[in-house]
Amino acid sequence: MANHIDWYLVELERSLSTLAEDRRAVILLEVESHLREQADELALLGLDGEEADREAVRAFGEPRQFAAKLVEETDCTAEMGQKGTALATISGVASVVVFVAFWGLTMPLLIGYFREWVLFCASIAVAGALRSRRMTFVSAARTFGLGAIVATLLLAVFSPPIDMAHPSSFSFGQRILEQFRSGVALALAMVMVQWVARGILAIGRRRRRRPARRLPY
Amino acid sequence: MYIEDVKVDLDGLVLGVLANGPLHGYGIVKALRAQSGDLLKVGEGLLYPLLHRLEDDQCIQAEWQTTAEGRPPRKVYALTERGRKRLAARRKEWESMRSVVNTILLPEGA
Repeated sequence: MANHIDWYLVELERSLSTLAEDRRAVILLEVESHLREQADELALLGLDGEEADREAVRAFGEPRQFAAKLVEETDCTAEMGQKGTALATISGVASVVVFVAFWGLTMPLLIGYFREWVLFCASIAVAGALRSRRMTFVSAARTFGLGAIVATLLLAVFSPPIDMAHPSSFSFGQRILEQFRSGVALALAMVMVQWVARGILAIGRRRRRRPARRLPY
Repeated sequence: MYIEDVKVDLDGLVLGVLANGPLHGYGIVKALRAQSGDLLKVGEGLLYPLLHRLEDDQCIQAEWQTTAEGRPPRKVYALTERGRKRLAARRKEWESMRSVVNTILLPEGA
């Protein structure tokens, strides 16, 4: 056993893998600072180096449990908000470029684009409503947002063109509602698939049952 | 007031300790221990998640301070205006809770 503190930091980093890299780095630095200072003080009280490291680490408890509490309390909304905003902007600009390149910037196009944009914004809003400190919900919200975006773009490409010669043949409100329903259904389906896949993977992991990483003493 | 509220309010204790001045995580552990006459020992596994939540709630703010050469910097926490307000609210809650519990546990003439 080389060093208890180093071991703890490696295990903690591994257990914090669901957090953003910068957030993880800050936590690790803070924990390392605490552990080294405490170990130094314990050494001054007469403990030998290894025993001091061990005592300092013991106060933090199992790295997995400590990491789970940290993740539970970490506010992921800021990170998710930044990513969501970036994703929304990029997809919005990209879809405008696609629309303009393929159909030209005409009034029916603008109406059609607005229709897709309504769905897109709605999906982002629902994803925002799902924001939570709990990583499970954040993950679901991400999948939902992504699913809604994909659904929006697919519907935009494959939906039948609006027949402007016979305006009575369609109801604008009905079409919005229809596409919104389809997009939301597709997005929800993606979330369900994700949860089912996670469930299957969890069962598989339980069957393999790796020995839990515990404190090395 | 529900019976679940009658417990040690760690949020309030940490805010109370920080009301005396900025401290880093290990400093808070030591201050809690010292100010309670070594009666309160807060596990680090409990403290750091709480500190990060209070920071997210903007009740405390943190800044990094350099330490001795070769040692990692310290993240030092200080109370914000919002934290002071929360601390004041917690003090008020604790006062009313204490009087309620005293009425039952320490009735006059007991």
